[in-house]
Amino acid sequence: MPSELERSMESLITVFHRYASKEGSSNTLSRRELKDLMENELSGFLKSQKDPAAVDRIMRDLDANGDGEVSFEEFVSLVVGLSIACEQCYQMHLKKQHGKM
Amino acid sequence: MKTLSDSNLVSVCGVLSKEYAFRLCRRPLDFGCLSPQSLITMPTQLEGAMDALIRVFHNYSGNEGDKFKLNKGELKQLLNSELTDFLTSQKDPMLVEKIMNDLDSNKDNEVDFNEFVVLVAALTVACNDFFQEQQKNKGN
Repeated sequence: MPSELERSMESLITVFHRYASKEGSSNTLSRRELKDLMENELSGFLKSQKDPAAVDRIMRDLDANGDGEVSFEEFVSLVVGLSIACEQCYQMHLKKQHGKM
Repeated sequence: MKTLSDSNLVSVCGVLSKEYAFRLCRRPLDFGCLSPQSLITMPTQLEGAMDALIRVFHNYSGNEGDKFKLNKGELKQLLNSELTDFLTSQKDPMLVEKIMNDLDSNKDNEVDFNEFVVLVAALTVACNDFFQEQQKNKGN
């Protein structure tokens, strides 16, 4: 019986491969596959971006070795960055609540 | 997660390389702030996974002392409950100590979420490498 943490880690791998295997190399995300992934899995996040070129900017940011494809390790850095941002929002929310009590 | 049974965590963090792992967390976030609202309404699988990372961390960090950080006892509880298979496959009784030292980058004897998520990232990359090897051997 996998724990909640293990299931989350598995989800990261499953989601990545669901999109990475659509075209070309099945171990990396092409620009189109990354766009697909972000539009389907992170639609809330994309909507909060005012910049229509957000996907391009994120692709350039993630593609550390500049080969035009995003590997799993490069993708994980996006997940880490977003999780940290969310956790900071969550902390602020908890601290505000505590202040009212 | 039987996939982790052959990797030693300390060497995995080494492979990921401290510099790269810390760069993951210190990368300037010009993504804008993710609205917590988007996590409340109909999370996708990916959003659910990120939400779970935060929730699991806080389930343990909130027990004693600083509610937003894991002290050694809380970290040990988290590792024992959430990564049981991995820990039991490692024969080293000092493993929790080593992990704590490895994660606590600012040496305040506490592991905050930024430091914790590096551990999760390293383990997930190791699992994925194993998964991709398996796929290759199947001839995919």
